[in-house]
Amino acid sequence: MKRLSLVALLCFVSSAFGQTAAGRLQKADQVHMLQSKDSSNKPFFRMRLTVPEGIPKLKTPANSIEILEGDHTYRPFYVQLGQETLAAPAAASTSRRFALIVMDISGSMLEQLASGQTKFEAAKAAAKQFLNGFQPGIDNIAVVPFESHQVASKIRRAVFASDVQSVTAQIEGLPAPDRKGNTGLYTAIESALEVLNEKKKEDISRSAMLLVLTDGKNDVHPNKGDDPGLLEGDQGLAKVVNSARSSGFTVVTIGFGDTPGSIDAAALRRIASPDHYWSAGNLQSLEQIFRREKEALINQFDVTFATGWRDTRSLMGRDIRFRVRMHTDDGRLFESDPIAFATPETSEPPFEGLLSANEEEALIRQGPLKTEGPPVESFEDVLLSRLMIMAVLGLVLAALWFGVPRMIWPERYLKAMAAHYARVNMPVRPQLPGPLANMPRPNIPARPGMPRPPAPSAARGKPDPTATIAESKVTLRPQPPRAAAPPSIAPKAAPKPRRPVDETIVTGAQPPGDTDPWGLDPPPDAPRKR
Amino acid sequence: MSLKQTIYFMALVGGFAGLLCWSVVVWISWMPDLISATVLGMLIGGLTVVFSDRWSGEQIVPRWVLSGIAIGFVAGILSGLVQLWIGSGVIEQKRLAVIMSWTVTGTLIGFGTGLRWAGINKLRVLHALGGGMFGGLLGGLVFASWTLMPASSQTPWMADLVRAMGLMMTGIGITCGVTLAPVLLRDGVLRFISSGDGRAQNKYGPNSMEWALHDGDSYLAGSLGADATVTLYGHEVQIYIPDAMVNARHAIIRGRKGHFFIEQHSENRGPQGQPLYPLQLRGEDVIMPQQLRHGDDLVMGQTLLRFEMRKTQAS
Repeated sequence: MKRLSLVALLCFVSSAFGQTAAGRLQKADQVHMLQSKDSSNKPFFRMRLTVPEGIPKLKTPANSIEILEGDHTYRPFYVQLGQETLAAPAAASTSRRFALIVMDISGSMLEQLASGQTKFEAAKAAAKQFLNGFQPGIDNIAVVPFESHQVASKIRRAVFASDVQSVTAQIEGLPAPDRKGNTGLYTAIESALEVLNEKKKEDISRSAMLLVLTDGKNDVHPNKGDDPGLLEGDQGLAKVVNSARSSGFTVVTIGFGDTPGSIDAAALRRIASPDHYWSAGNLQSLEQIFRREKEALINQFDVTFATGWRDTRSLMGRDIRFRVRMHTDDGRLFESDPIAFATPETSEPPFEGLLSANEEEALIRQGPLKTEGPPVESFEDVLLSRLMIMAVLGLVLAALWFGVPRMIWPERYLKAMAAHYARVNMPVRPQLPGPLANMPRPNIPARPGMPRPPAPSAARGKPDPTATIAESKVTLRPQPPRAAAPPSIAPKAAPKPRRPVDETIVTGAQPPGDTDPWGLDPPPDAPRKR
Repeated sequence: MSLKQTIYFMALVGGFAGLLCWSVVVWISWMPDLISATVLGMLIGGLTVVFSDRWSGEQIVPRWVLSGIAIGFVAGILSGLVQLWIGSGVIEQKRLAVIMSWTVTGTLIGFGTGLRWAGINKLRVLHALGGGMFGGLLGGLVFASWTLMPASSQTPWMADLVRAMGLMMTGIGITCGVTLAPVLLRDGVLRFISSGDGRAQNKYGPNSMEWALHDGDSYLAGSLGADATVTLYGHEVQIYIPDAMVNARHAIIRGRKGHFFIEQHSENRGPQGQPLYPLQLRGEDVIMPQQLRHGDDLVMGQTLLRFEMRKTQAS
């Protein structure tokens, strides 16, 4: 027993010490769902991740990376690695990278650091570090200022330069901070995300990064000349955080300054992507941050993979989260946090594009997809299945509408049928209570558009009070409309003795000559109804 | 049409709206949740007006139908926006987010549908809102049940089927709930017995037409046709009796503190206060407001109606 315990302890210790700490893979973009050129409904996914330490050596990248989704593990059929170092040239197929640097130029940026430099001068100098390893044709960088005046319009005027000189000129050309300027931080970030979103929409394969440098907190006063409608408070922060998360971009926030309490670190941390909030107190640390983020921008790789989902329709309302794990040749392990793929609640997610030619080639090279169940459906199959569902559900509704009620409420249909039969065969209204049906109404003016029951005529004879209406021989003929009675006011005749209403209606009994048993007739000169 | 039949058929109208909605939105991939809620709102808003008017014996007034569609559109858009907000991560748990989203959708569409009765009684709008909430919850549960099924047992067409069923159940729940809530909470019923006018007899006789009455409401009875009204969304005459001997605005039935009263409308009042056109309760002309009692027979023109309180109150 003691020996067993010792072995177990040794196993635990060896596993604990033998396991190297896993490095972090950071999400650099949203997960994109792509379609193959064969127009099938099979979803493929592309993810972009960053290795902050730099992309390690991988002999067979596709075999070194695995994607985990719940209990399933998938291998990518295509991996595109970025640059390994700043010095190495980018591969020809590397997609374009967009970075937007948003620089605070509020009045507080004129404060001096311990080194004697103003914060603004230090920020400009540090931003140039971001240009190290600039790849013309791949890198596109814009630098825009913000304070609390014309915040959105200035940021929307961002021009992405694709050469070092132009970007340097943008940094040098930043306007000097205005002492009266406050800090419209939230609106600036919101506007910057919109600008990057537009760039991303043009081509989803682009990388995008937003760097925000500020020395304070969101502080706006619209009643003192700042832009109206600037985001502020908890609501403004929540809106920006939501926009940052849904964009999928890497959002970097840098709090710059050596004055304690002047920076809203909590807000900046919430806005930033995980591990991308920085605090710098001097030029050196700020330069280091810019260099590190530039590395993060270029040390990205894309993985394209298929999953066990055979059809996009199966993804409706799913909570799908992928984790990416990378085993390097030197035995290190990198792993990402769960990365969610957003699916609509009540429909399939739409395809965001097609697989690239390289991805298609890799897919074909990999051979047929190993998916369980029936083969992947084509558009025609989808169309047919939907038409079938529509027909079946339509028939069910028709049966419930026309069939089932005839069984639950048969009397409803028998009555309707009887009424129809009576209408066809008998000009006299059937099933009517006797006295009401034959009640003469000579003195009530007819309302326009409303036919009135014709009065019994002497020529047609009096109805037999003992017979029901259905048995009566009396036939009613259409009467020409009568002239309306002249409007005049006259006292109503004294009411006649009445009999109980229910008895009259149920039996239909009516003595001969009693044409108004209830005394319901209005006076002969009653005013005309409207 | 009896109250049970009205509930049954109105539920089917909701199911039809859901199926119609699915057959449209299934081909749309842009903002599908927002589009689904909007289309469903429009269809339910329009179809409930069409069928409820048809069954109440009224004409179908295009103006009312368009108003119903417009209100359904607004309710659908609002609920779709709320869905987007909930789906953006406000509720982390996806299934809960789906159920919450559709409950809100049903609530808003039910509220929009219930606005039709706002002129009679504002409480009725709350009934419709509650009914809509029930419907949305039902639909949300169907949608959420899809993700509970193991992926290995699913085929792709099942997703379409579940989506169609979800929208149908939402529609059924909303229309059923909107109709059921007032019926369940009714305090009295006015039942059609027979009429000497063929139009009323043929329209209401075979189906034993019933009108649900609520405490606090005020109902106008008369023969004023829908084509002669100028209202934008609802009926001016709630108890429509197509009888030549019934005045356009004939009588008013009011529910106050658990009792119902009938009085003649001023337009039907003669020079001496007597009704111009017949209005009798228990065999007597209704000249002053009179209380209705359980089982009372009411004569309007040539039409006989019977008033019944709910059983508990009748006893």
